[in-house]
Amino acid sequence: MGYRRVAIVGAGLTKFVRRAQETGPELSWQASKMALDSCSLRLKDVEMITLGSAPDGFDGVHMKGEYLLSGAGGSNKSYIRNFVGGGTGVFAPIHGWMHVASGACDVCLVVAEEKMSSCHPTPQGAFITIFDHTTEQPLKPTLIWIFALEMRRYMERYGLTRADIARVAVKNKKNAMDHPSAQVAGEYTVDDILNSEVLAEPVHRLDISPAGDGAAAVVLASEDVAKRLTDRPVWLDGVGWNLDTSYWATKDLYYPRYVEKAARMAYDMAGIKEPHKEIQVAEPYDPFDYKELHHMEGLLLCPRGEAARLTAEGYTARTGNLPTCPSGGALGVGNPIAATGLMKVIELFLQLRGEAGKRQIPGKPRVGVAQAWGDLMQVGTVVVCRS
Amino acid sequence: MSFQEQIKKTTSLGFFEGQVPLNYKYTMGVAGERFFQTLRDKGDFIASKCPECGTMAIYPLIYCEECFAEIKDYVSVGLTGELYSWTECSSDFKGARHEKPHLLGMVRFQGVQGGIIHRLDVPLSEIAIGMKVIAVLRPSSQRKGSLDDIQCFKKA
Ligand SMILES: [Zn+2]
Repeated sequence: MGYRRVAIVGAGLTKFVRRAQETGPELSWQASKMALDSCSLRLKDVEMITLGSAPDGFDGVHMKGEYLLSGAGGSNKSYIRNFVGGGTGVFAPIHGWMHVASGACDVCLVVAEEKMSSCHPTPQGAFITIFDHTTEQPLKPTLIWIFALEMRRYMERYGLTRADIARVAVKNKKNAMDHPSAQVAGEYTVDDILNSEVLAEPVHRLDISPAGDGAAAVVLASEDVAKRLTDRPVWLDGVGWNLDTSYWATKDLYYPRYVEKAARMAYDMAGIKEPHKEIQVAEPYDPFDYKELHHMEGLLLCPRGEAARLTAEGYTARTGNLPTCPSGGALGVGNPIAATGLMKVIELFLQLRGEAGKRQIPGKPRVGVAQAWGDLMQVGTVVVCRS
Repeated sequence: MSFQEQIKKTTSLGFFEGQVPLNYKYTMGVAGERFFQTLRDKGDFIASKCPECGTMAIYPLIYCEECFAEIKDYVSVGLTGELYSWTECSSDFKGARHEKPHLLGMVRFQGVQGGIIHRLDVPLSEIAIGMKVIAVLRPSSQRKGSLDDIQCFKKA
């Protein structure tokens, strides 16, 4: 289609923590420096930079793109911030892909940062004005409120129980025990999840990923440059993004059609015809346990309504047919929003290079998909990676 | 109806009131904490020094903006600097007039990138760009490790 092929050649990731001493620029620098060091590049070798970060309200710094610039290596360079709500972390490498695929540059640094701990006591207040001021805000909605409506409708549509869904949280929190960046890894039982504090039925505390601080970065390169830099490039062979209506009450709530559209765009570009057979590792966005199931279906990795059953059967375990969130996901590694999405892409990078250590899935996987989601249950961002 | 139509009587429009209810506690960061702890405990300004290109920066950084190297070295630069620019500010951020204009100066330090912006306590008639100024700190018992540990800059 006239695009240049783009590879990921390096990656860096900070720890995800409840509250980091580091400022946002300091976190951004840690991830960026690690990413450059991992492929033996210097900042001067980077031609363009794109930085993804979610709402300014999280860090509490307006014009966050400019605030984070120096730590992302952006001083005196072609630098720009991208933002599509919770979908930002996977959109950031897509934005970097545009820079390289278009021929605008050969080496692009992609950085994603979030420091949610500045916002006290929680970042919930940042979400009040995402709701319609006339028809929703008078009811004092919280973010969890709308996900409770979505989760309940999903359960109703497919006859699922909370326990069916809680298995996702159990799996991901356990997977995260092998992730050096993890914030909330641990061994939990389904009962632990079911009996955790209720927030808005059917959503309980352990169904949700925690807020946190962290940053991630990858280095993208054009084909020629990538082959000079490494003998194990991971190709960004498909990218897709899609936004559904902002009138979220008009949606069916049980199927993320925008994720499907984003996925189809990415699969077409990558030449993937039967995703459930061709994809060998998946990192769907899992800020809530039911969202992983939702997103597996939207990503066409299983038939609609089947994701919970497959999870119960071990199909999505690290040793299963389709390991899903082998990183530990947002539920286990943590969820500093934009950094989480890019963490998922980095997990594909490591899995496809065979460098995931204790998290390495068997069978030398060659094709993976990562996805993020956000805004008003509205945006799907998808990348397909291939080794 | 035309898109050119203008509503002149704005009080006739329905409205709702709103606010974004957020509060923050920002960390000072690794380099920031070092700077303000040194200010509090030793009454001194420090700059970071890049191990690769030697660039010194105030406020200090844990990385060099130019070469991206990690910085662990900090050097004392003392309290005396040079007035690089100044202003006399008459109103606050809500638009209210100050009773007496606030004098603010940007102070740079020899060989250091960046500077400190703070209150300036120098008679208007004597202010000159390039003049030597020195930071007046609060007594050590009152210092808390924040920007307010500096009272102002005066003539050195
Ligand atoms: Zn330097």
